[in-house]
Parts: sequence; structure tokens; C-alpha cells
Amino acid sequence: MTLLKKILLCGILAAAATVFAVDAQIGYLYPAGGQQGTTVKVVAGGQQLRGAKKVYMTGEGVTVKSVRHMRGIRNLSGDQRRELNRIFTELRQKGISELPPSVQKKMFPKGPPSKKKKPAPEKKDAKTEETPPVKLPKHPLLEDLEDKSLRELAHVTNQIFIPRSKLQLNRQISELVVIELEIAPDAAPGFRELRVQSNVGLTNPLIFQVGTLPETCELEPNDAKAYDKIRTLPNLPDPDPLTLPIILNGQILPGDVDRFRFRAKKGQKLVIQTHARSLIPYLADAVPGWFQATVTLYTASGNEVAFADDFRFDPDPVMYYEITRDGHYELEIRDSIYRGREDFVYRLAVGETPFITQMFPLGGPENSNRTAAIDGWNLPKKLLSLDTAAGGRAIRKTALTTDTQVTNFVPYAVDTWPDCTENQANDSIKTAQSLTLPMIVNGRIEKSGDIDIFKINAKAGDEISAEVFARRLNSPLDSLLRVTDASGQVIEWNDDYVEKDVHLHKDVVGLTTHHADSYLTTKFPKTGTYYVHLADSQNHGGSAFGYRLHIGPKQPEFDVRITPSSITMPGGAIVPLTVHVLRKNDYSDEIEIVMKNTPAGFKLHGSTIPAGCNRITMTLQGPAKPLPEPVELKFEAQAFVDGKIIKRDVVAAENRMQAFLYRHLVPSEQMLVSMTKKRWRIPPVQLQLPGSGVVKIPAGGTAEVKVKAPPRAFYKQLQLQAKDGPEGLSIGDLKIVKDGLVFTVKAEKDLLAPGYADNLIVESFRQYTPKPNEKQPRPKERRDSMGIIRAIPIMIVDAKPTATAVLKNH
Amino acid sequence: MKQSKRTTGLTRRDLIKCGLLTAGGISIVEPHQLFAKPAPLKVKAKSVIQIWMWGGPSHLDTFDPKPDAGNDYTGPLNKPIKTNVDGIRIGQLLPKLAKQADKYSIIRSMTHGINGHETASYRVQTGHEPGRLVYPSAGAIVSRFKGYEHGYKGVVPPYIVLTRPQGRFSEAGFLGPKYKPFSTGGDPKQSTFVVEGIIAKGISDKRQKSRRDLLRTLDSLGKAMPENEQFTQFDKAQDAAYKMMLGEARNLFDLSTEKDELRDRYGRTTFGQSCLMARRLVEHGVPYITINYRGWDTHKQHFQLMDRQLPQMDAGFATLLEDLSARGLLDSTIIWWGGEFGRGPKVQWGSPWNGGRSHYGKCFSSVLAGGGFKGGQVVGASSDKGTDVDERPVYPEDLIASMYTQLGIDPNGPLPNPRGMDLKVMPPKEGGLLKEIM
Repeated sequence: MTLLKKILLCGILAAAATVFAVDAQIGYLYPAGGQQGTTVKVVAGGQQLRGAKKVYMTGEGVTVKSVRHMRGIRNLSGDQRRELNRIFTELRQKGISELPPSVQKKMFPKGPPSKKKKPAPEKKDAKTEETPPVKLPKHPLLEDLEDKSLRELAHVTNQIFIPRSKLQLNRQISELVVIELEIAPDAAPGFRELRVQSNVGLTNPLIFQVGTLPETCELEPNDAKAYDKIRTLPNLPDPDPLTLPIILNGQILPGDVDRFRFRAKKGQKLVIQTHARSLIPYLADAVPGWFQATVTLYTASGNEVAFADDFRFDPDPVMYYEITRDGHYELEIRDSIYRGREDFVYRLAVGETPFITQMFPLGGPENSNRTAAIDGWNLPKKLLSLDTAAGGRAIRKTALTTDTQVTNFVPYAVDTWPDCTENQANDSIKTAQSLTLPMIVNGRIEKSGDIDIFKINAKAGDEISAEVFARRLNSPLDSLLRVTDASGQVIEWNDDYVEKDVHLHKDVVGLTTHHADSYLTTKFPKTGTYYVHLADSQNHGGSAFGYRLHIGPKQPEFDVRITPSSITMPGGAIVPLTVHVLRKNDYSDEIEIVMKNTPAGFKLHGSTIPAGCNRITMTLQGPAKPLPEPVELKFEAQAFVDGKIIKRDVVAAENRMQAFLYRHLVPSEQMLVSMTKKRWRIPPVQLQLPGSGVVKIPAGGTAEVKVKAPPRAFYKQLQLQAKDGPEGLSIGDLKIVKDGLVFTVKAEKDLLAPGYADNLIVESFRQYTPKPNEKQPRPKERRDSMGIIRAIPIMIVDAKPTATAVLKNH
Repeated sequence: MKQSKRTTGLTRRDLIKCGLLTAGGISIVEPHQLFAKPAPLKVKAKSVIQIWMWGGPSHLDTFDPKPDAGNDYTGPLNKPIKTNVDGIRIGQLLPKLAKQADKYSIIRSMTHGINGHETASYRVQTGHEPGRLVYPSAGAIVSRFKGYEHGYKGVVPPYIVLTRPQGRFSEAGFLGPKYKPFSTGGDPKQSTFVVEGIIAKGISDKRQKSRRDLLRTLDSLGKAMPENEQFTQFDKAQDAAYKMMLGEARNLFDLSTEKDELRDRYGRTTFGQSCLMARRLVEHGVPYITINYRGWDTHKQHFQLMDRQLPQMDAGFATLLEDLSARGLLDSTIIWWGGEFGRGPKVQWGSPWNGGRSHYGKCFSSVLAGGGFKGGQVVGASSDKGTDVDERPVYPEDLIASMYTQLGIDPNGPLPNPRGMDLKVMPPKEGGLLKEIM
């Protein structure tokens, strides 16, 4: 092998490793937000973060000042520990000396602790030269130590020196990146997505919240009370309580409880809103699959006055409490079953802050001037204008903004059908509200036992669909939907509806775990009047129990999600993308995915979702010359229905696991593609197919696929393998031919029936034994992934294939 | 002795109860059939050593390797090794077991489809689906049929767990605490195997005896009421406890009497020495021993853990087979290796797993050896990637019923229970009994 070829091969392997090694990922941000007009240092815990130098955040107004990778703060050498101990002792003594004499006397009735220390025993073979200064890690905890109060110093000491016996090492969050963010005063408040770019690639997005309130971070020890006893400073006076409003940031470790003390006045209407599960929706390796926070409010004397462990169906607790007497109060937060880890991050907003508890209606038609009535706590206004401009997502979020504060964000729907408001007196067949279809009804289940009934006229054979949007729009309604004829005979009914692919919940919102919204389709047996009944399946009701009930002709409908939402690839590389289809109303035809904004050089292969297919892997090929900055890719799904093209925006999502088993497609704001400078040197292939564009494989037989490629010596060591393909599809013999390679694809008759269509994703491997050298005189055989080649559309057919597929060079 | 006036001993009412009379009163079975009892089962096995792979071992990395399934399935363990039986290959980290393959049979088509630890453990150890009744584990059943009520006279209880109890479910089920296992606690790899309640570190026999004597001296109430039945029962239990603490039982758990070379071969690990302890208990006649072998719930960094744990398992299990065989005990001792399920055939490379395997109850492997089970056999087959059972599904009840059969316990026989219900011991599925290896 020539030197050039060796270099090329190294390049290939390095490139392959870049794509197929464990991805860079982040598991938490702490603090997971910051106030407008401030600069905040955020620690991101994750894996494969070495070399992190850039951070990307959605939205405007947040500037990344610096990004630095660092080791865990507890992983210190003996010298570093000794040096830190020395510094802390000095600073503590300095701090004590600066306290008023009366306080000092109270703390140390027998006089302050002696500064004298036993001289360290001389090492036997200690060298006379001066030892170099100990280099300490540049962790935010260790910055500006001189300016820290004694309690702040105690917190730092606690974080570094107090052993956490129950805290296991979790590789997925063991690497740290410190990010300095400058938040502009006019940065829009709300949730953003933050991604870190490391040597390995772009991480998954995590939530960072831009807020309007002052912020603080917890100071340990704060378990038994907000200002717990410090071992080294047992009688240190408590500092002043916190002033409201405020955002409290913290991390819950195993068995941990965090407490905060604040001052409140009689008559204050406090809202305590927790962000925990909303920051990190799913934990793969914890049961339940998120940080399940509980908050408790105590008086200064320790009496519990309020407790919350959720807000309606949302796991993040929200508490409303009217202060009955002036004084100090303590707020406690913990995990409901005392779990904990660095990624059990929370943000607690405490104060007389505005909070929307309900909204009506829960949406409106596209391009309508829709104003919703809102209710809640501390709201300065009762009306909220909804942005219904065409082109956005079907479910959007909004908040009420005042001069100084912003409410919680609430979801609403924007639809193409007309809508109307329910007639309150519609709770019997006689008074049922007549509807002309299609129609969306904005209604409420006003009270326990309330049933809203709608009358529709239909012809024999007419098919309708009826779907409730309530839980997905933050309504506590757990709907139950029935369709009856005039005699009351039930024709169809549904309680909960969720589309699942084994353990993957394909829900539009992605954060719902109780799929309480109802959906049904039905075909009317004869011409007549029919009734759609909507109730709460748990027999609850109230003004917050709003809904949008869609009733209309059964029309083909679909939504498409594409994962992952962060992609890293070398120039010219091919990476897999998984496309999930959420089909509605029995729609089963083909769907084509196209790129909406095609940055130069990007190509999508295998872009047709076959009829009836709900999940398929496509491949994305990047431009040969890597782009200097990440680009956002947008996709659109198109389908022909009754001669018309239906278009839907494809939503980028993260496939997140909950509690070892369940999976959810959590929508992201954007799909971001980052390109590394390494070049992808696998000979690129281009599919040239006969008319159908599909490799046809006879059931139980084989089809040949030819790859036109320039000659390479390592082809002899090449192995191909179907990646993530269906059971029954395998790659057969690989032959080297004059102008490339030929391989066969085999379909098992028992497993793959004629008509089955999919994309074949082929991964290539090089299996070889390196030459012996001094370091490795007897090297072991290696099998290195070379990456995947572009998606090959296949179909199982009855007859033998009509033509041989030919893959050619670009 | 009173004799029934009727020669059959059954009334007409009895027959109706049994459903043996038609509406017209005509018997649909021959009278002799009423008395036809199945021939007693031939007892092939006397003891069971259950190696409970707590957490669920990977079938692909142990006894059902799939080298052609690709890296996403095999990870680095893609080079299975030949065994001493033609055509059988096992995981590459089990070279010692490869040399003993003629002594065991591999079931590669175990299935129950449950992926939760608690439910799957219950399913595999009892053979029953979770339901209203809490069934006893196989160990408790064997204890019921082979224990004290059936002539067992050992100085230790008939159902021993080395070393920590499961805790996932009540092993005795509705049979009650009498059939619960005795968990030794302690660690047999330590210089002193501190068995809970039997061997206390630092307490000599002499001191233990003097404590007993002091207690007896102080027992003035017992002396004053020698006829009291409750006190008598208490004294009996106390005597039994002291018998365990001071006599043969103490010696039984003393592994220092074993040759160092043999202890080394078993491996100086908790599992290795537990296997040796199990052999000693079998020699003593204990009918059911469970080795609860922890550490197989390998969600994260699975292959690093396999590198560490499989060689330990290999040494302990292989030496146990060899040792039992050499002592002529393998023919009468069943070894049952397996966990509550297998592990996900597809490796979870991404974060947070970093090369982990998930729970997998759809298809997994178990191993049976000795006690009349043939060696060198493979039962059933899994699919190319180990994801599905391709041939001959074997359910937990089939395996347990097969073991009972070898032990001479009729799986279709009645299972006495406190509620007096009409229950059978462990009926296998139709055709489920592992006749091919019995």
C-alpha cells in the first residue's frame, strides 16, 4: 500500500469514526436559564464534549462569550485538594476576621480558631527546589473566591469535599463545558434550544430559559433548613432572606432536599412555578422517566402551609398561596422519591408573578384576528391576542407580556377549518347544537357530569372524523367522545387515542404521557341525524376544561417527524435520518419528503415513504466541501390526495427514551446540521435505477446491486451489511468487478411478502489484520465501520427482477 | 381399621362431582380407570443447583452467539468458540464452559415476553403468570416435596440461597414461610464465610456454648412450667438453631477444608466460592440451592462488564460441572442456569447507555445440566439476530415441569395449598416438556 493510500485510508476510518462513534450529547444545563440583561455562566454536563468551542442557541439576543471544556470538579488530584483546602481555610479566616466583633464572639466564645497549624512533615526525599504552583481547574465554582461570603464558600467546599456516596458516576453527564452567555436586555423571554459543538460534533438540544426575574443559585448545606448548620462555622448567623420575586436554581442529588428562605408580607399572592420536567422532559435511565419535583411551603416556625407535586396533569408543580401574615417562609424542593443526580435541575419562579391557568378559546383559524379570554393569578389583563398567521406550526405557544414580567407560556391551536363556540344549552339531544361540517367547536365541559352534544346531518355512507384537542392544549379535560344515532344507539366511541410504534409514542406534542384526547372515525349506515357527545371520562368539569372539537368529513391526514434534530457529518458524508409518519383517517398512500431550503450540495436519498409505511430511514448527503457554520435544514412532506397535493411541514424531533422503555418524539425548534472539516473519502455512489427507481427483489429470491466505484485495494477486505433493515433482508455475496462492486440482496419469503417496500441502508466494514509492528507484534483482527452508502429503495415482488440496479459514481 | 362398605370407596355423588357420570347416570369411564394412578415417576435427580443470573444475562454473549448479526448486535464479542461438542459454539469469553459442553444442554428458545424484572422473575421462578394467587418458586416446591416432610434430615434447611435473597417476590408464595429459603448472607470468598445465624465472626464454639448454658440457667419460667407446649416448641426450635450453629452445619459452611487448588479453579470470587459451597450442600443432601448471582442487569457499558464477569462465571460454572461429575454427583444433580430474561440483541451504543443491552423477554437462553438431563444438546433456535424464537418455544413452566419430572415430582400432581384449592404442581404447555433432553 502506498503512503498516499494509507493516508487516505486513515482519513476514511477517522471520518467513519466521526459519524458512528457515540454522539456528542448534553444531559443538563445548570443553571438552565438567566435573566435578561445579565451575563451568566452555565455548566453543560454531557459526553463527548472534548474540544467544545462553540454553542448555538435558537432565537436572538443571547451572545456566547466563551465556551470551555473542563473536568469534573470532584475529580481533583491530591495536590489540588490540598491547595484548595489551604485557600478555603485562609479565606474563611479572613471572612471571620471581617465580621463584627459581636458576631465573632457569638460564633467563637473561646476565641477564633487558631491560625497556627502543625508544620507538614518534611518528605524524606523532598527536593530543595521550589515546587511549581498547583494548577486549579477553571470551574465557575472556583471563580472570584475572594468575593464570596462565608456561606458561599461553604457551598463551594460542600460541592468539592463532601463525599456523595449515593451519587454514581454517569458517563453520559460526566464531562463538563462552561458556557458564558450574555443575555441582552431585550432578549425575548421564553425557552430556547442550546446545542454545544465539540470535536465529535453537535449535541442534542436542551432547554435554556431567558427570564425577566432576578436569579440565584442554591447554596448547600440547605437540607434541613434554608441556612443549615455549616460544620466548620457552626454559629454563623443566617444571612438576610431572599427578596421576591426571584428565580431559584438548583440541582437535586441523591437524597437531597433544597430549601430557600424568603420574606413575604400579608396579602401577597404568591405563585411558585417549577420548571424541572419541562427543562429535561425524559430521562432514559430513571423511573419515573423524569425529575418528579415536589414543593412545600413552610412558615418560619416549620409549619407546612402548602404542598404541590404537580399542576393538574403536568408533573411540574405550580403552587398559589396567599400570605396570611408577615414573616419569613421556607420553600422546599426535592424529588418525590428522593432520587437525584446532576441532571435533576430545577428553576423555581417565586413571587407575585402572573400565571395563566386557563384560556378560551384554545385557538383559532389561520389568519384570523383571534383574541382569547384568559384567567389565572396576578394577571394584569384578561385578554390575549393569538398569532394565527398561516405557515407556522399547528400548535403554538404564547404568553402575556407586561412591562416587567411574562406569564407562563400556554399552547393554542391554529387550524384551517372554520370554528365556532359551543352553545351552552347543548347538553341534551333536544337542545343539541347543529353543526355544518367541517367545523371546529370551541367549548368547555363546564361542570361535573356536563355533556356537550352536537347534531349533524349525514347521508348513508358518509364518513366523518371527530377529534378532540384539549390535553394537548393544556386543558385538564380527559375527553370521552361518542357518536349516536337519533335513538341514542352508539355507533362509535373513543376515550384515549395514541398512535404507537411498539414503545414509540407518536404524539404531536411529544411531552404527553396520558393521551387523554379522543379521536374516532365512523361511517353512517343511513341518511339521518346523528349526535356527537363529548364528556369528561373522569366526570370532572370546570371553566378550565376547554376543548377544540374537530368534526368534518374523513379526509386523509398526516404529520411527519424527522430525527435526529442535530446532525454532524464530514464533507460529502452520508448520514441516516429516520422519518416517522403519523397517519390519520386511514391515509395510507405514498408520501414524498422534499427539502424546503436546499443549501448547496445537500441531497436526500430514498425520499419516498412507501404506501402504508410509518417509519423509514432515508439518507442525507452533505456537500463535499464542509460548510464553516451549521445550517438549518427544513423539509416538507407532500402527498397526492384526490389529484391535489397536500403539503405538511416536517417537524424535526428528538427520539427520547423514558424510563428504560417508552420513547417519545419530542419536537425541536429546528434541525441543525454541522459539518466537520474531515473529508468523507468513501467512494460516493449514485443510484441509477430502471424506470421504477426501486430495486425489485423477488420474494424468497435475490437481486443484484452494482456499485460503480474507482478501484481501491481495500475492497478485498470489504464487507457489507444491511443496517436496521427488516428481518428477512440480508446482503449476500460481494464481488469485485472491473468498474466497481456487485452485491446481492436476499429476501426471505416467509418474512417479507410481495408488496413490501422500504429503503435498504447498507453499512460497509473493512475487516483486516494490521501488520505487526514493535508495539503490536501480534495484532488482532479489526473490523472497522466505513460508514453507510446512500439509501436504496427496494420492493419485494412476485416475479424475478426486471433489471439490475446500477450504482454509479457521482 | 374401618373399611368402606362400598368396594370402590366412591359414592355416586363423588362420581357426579368428578363429572364421570352422564345425565342418564351411565358412567363414561371404565371403573378401573377411576383407580388408575400414574406410575410413580422415576427419580433421576436428588438436588437442584439454580444459578440465578440476577438481572438477566445476555443470550448473545453467552450461549446463543450470533457472529453474523453485525456489530450492532454482537459488539466486540463476535468470535464465538467451538465447544467439545461438534456444531455447538458459545460465547468467546466462556472457554472453560466450552470444554464442558458435553455435560449440559442449551435451550435457545426460552420466551415469555415480559421485560420487567419483578414480573419476569416471578414468571421464570414460579412458571406462572402473575395473578390473584402468589405461587411458590421452584425451590419452595422442591422443598415441599423433598424436604423434611419427605425424609430430609439435613442439618441445614432444604432450600438454601447463596448468599442474598431475591427480594423481587415471596419465594414461598402461598405455601407460607415454612418453605421460604434460608439465605446465608455473608460472602464465601472471605476467609470466614459468615453465615447469618450460624457462624459469627469472633465467636468461638466454646463461647457460644457458654452463652447457651447461661441462657438455660436463667430460664426459670421454662423450668417452672416444663409441660407448657409453647415453651416446648420454643426449646425445640432453639435446639435446632444451636445444632446448626455448633455442629455439622458449621463445618458444612467451612470452605477452608477444601483444597486451595480446587478453590482457585472455582475462582476466588463470590460466585466461584458459592458454586463450591453449592457442591458441598449437594453432598450433604440439600435438595435445592439457589446461587443468586448479581450484576447482570447491564444497561450501561455492557461489554466492559462482560469482560469482567463472564470469566468469573465461566470458571465457577465450568468447575462446578467438572467437580460434580468427578464426584459422581452430576447424574443426580440438576444445574439450572438462567435469569429472568435475556438482554436486548441490539446494542444500545448511544448515550446514556454507551454500549448497553436492555431487558429482553421475547427470546433468551437457559442451560440445564445433570440430574438426568442429557448433555451436548441444543433445544430450539432463535432467529438470525437472536430477536425471536424460530423453533420450539420453551416457556418457564416447561422447563420447571421438566425439572420436577426428573426429581420425581409429578408436574400434573396435586399441589397442596392452605386454601384447599384444586391446584396442580406445574402442568407444562402441551408438548412443552423437554423430552428431547430427558
